[in-house]
Amino acid sequence: MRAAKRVEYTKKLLDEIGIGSERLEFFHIAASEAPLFAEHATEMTERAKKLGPNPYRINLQRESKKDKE
Amino acid sequence: MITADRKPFEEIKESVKNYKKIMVLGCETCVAVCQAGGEKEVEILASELRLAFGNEGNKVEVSEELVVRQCDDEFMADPAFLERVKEADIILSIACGVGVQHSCNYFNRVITDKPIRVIPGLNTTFMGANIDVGLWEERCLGCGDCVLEKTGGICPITRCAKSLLNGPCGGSSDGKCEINKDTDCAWHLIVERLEALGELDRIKPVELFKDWRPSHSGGPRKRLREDLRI
Repeated sequence: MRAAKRVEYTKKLLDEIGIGSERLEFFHIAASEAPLFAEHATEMTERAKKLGPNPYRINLQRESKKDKE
Repeated sequence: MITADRKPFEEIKESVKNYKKIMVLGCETCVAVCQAGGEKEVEILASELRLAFGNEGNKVEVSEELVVRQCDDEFMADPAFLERVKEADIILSIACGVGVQHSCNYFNRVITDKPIRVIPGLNTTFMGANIDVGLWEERCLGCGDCVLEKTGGICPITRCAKSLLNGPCGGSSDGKCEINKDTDCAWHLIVERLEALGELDRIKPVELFKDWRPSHSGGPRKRLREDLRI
């Protein structure tokens, strides 16, 4: 599957730039598998909460705050 | 075409870390086709640099530029483009080694009030063909003395690991080369092709030696066409 390969490649890029590959995941879920979708959505939400905000965005906000001051 | 691979991101980042204005310069010809240095790759690399440096709180300006060919003056002669080149602290060229050298040479020739720093973002690999989607294989070493007419259109200089003129050698097994089971034995292919063409006689005479003088062994080569010069 090309999409899975592309996601793998993008995960590599995210690691290289320090954002972290764990923020992106590829799941294969059939249309009939609603519980599985909910399970993965919960898993990703928990993961995002644990990882915290994107470090790049924090830096941007810090910079713009500094500029305003 | 000339193929290339992007250098590891860490290596690129390290080489540009001391500069505030970075220009990522792509090339729309060979390296765009092999998806190493075209428009999309310029965008990806520039975004990566912005994010990676931004992540560390390092404020850098990363601009994106693309020319049709970095190995030709005429595609870089736009005054507005040259002005932007001049404004950058460093040019990160993602062309092949020819493009990196030529653009560096050209910029420093036409921009006389400031030295222009150009560094490579790719490792140039070989002259090859697009065999399948996402697959390129080496096909020519540019030896300057082509033997393809004798070998059924298969180059033993490039595709035989030993560049044998009289093959195959003892390392050929089931049509594969001893260096790697994924590598076809060039001489096996040559014999098969000539057999199919009914021209096996072509390789009967023993080739005593090859004239390597037109190759790189004679130093960097020049090609001059007097009739094209102004």
